Amino acid sequence: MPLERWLYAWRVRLRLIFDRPRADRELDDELRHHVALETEARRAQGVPSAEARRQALAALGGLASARSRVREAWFGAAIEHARQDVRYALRTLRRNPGFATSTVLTLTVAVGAVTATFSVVDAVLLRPPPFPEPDRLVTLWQTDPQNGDRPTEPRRPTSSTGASRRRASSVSRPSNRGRRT
Amino acid sequence: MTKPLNLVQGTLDLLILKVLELAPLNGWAIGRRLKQVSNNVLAASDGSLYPALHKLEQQGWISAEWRETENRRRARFYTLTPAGRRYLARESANWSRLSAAVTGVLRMTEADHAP
Repeated sequence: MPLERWLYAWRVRLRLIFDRPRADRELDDELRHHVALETEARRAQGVPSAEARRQALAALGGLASARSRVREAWFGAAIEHARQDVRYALRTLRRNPGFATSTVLTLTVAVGAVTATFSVVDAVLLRPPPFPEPDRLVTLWQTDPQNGDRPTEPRRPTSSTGASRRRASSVSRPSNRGRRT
Repeated sequence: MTKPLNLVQGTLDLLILKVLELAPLNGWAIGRRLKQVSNNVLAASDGSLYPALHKLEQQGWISAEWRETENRRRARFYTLTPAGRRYLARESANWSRLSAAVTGVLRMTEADHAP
């Protein structure tokens, strides 16, 4: 199917899928307009108003029936197109197995990589840490002037502080990455 | 007056495309034009016209848009797309071949049977 026609057909289909109420409304307008024109034409031939309208509706097979027949056409055409698209895709892939294989591999690796990356990002950045008020979390360390002010591990509360050397303690707040829980 | 003929399956699509080749029309006018040009021999029932139009639109052979008519009413006008124009040319060539072949068979005389 040439691209231009394919795009057009898809635009029509997407509108039917995503804006069905509007499509239904427009179909209704279209059929009513038809009945109005047909009634006028019959009246112009000398048929009385009410009878002209009855004949116009009868020629259409009734509004409700006409509406449902058009909807069936929408549905039928959509299924037929989906079938054609799938068959076309399969035929193309079969004709070119090397391309098909590399495409499938590329997609496999890409989907896998994206999933893995997202799992990490989700766990590390998006989900709040598993405890309350994560924004009040602080990091503690101490610096030792005799050791070039290098940060060292904080001492455990249980161990002796030794207290012979003065130690400067620093407190920093990590940036507020977690959502408040 | 003889009764209008029932259309052969699939020919309605072709006739609609042909009618639209000249100018964009709304559904009602397409039906009317069809009866006029065929001297009432070909008549699509109004009920089968609209499903056919919507199917052709989905196939991308025709496009539809709402426009105002002369008497200031909004109507859905159908236009032949470039792809539809090419399809029409192809299909009418096929139709000519088919009908010529069928006509040939139907006009067959005794002489043709002779060895």
